[in-house]
Amino acid sequence: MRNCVPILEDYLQNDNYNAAILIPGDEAELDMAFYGGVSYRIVVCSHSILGDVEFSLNDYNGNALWTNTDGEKHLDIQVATTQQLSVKIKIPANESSLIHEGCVSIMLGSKE
Amino acid sequence: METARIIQKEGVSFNPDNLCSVELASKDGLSSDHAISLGLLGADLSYASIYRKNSIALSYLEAVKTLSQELGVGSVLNNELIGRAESNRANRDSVVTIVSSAFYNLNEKLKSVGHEDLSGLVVASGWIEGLYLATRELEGSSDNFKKLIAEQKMILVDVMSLIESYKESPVLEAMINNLQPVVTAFEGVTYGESAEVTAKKKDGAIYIGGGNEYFADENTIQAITTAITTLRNNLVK
Repeated sequence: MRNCVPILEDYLQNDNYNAAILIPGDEAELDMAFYGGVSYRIVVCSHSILGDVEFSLNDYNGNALWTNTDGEKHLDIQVATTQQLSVKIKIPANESSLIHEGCVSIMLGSKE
Repeated sequence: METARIIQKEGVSFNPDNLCSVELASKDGLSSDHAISLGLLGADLSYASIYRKNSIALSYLEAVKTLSQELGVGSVLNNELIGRAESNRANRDSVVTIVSSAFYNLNEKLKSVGHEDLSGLVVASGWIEGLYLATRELEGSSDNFKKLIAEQKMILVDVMSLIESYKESPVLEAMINNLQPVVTAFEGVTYGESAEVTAKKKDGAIYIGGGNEYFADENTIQAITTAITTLRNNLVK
């Protein structure tokens, strides 16, 4: 996952390590708190064997606020008030009889 | 690190007397004790780094290195990293970046060697120390700062969710129990009427509006302060 650290650029890397080994068709969700007035970069880093991972940002009720429809690997956000949001990821299913597993991590960086 | 930065932004002054002693790193104990100390001293390290007290930060970095060695993940805080921190001691941003990256790698390493429970303890005790430090300078603090304390309820939910996922681990069961008075104190935090969460795209970023406004009255702030002080002081004994 270290090859994804440069995507954070000048955003300060959060020290929590959030990663999981997933297979095609898997979904995962991570709740995170975001402070008001702080700029964040969310990076979803995945092994290429898993294909184009879909990820979305959702409010605390699960309503989608944004989805990476253009295949983006990161998202920059700012929140008006401190709140809990969730990042959902979905690994594309495939028809192959071979099941490849791969690591997916969600990295968070912040800056004032 | 993020909480320390927000505390500093609120104009809270740095007081080294509020930090744990670096001697905590030299105490004998079980792996769980070392993980707790790592979280406590790691939070102090972040705090000192953000406040540009880089000489103090370097002494805490050495203490964190000692503890990471005790936990079998000493390769993360190697001499090369310590050397980089020392040669960049005059540059706050470099020290902060090095420290943040080091803790990310520490947590990754602990999980990769099957010590997810110890990683959970590091996270929990780091949060405890961060909140303890935030509650040291409450006298005369702004309403915004008290709101920051109230908002820690959200972070506490995430911390409890993390450590409860490993509740079969006896050491995390103890931490879950220890945190109950803090959880109870935070029950006094209220939130106003929720505004609908909205998302607008601007200049390549998403701006999220709406959400809840957290609030804690003086009694609740005092209850939180008392609970976190008691817990933290028991952990450093």
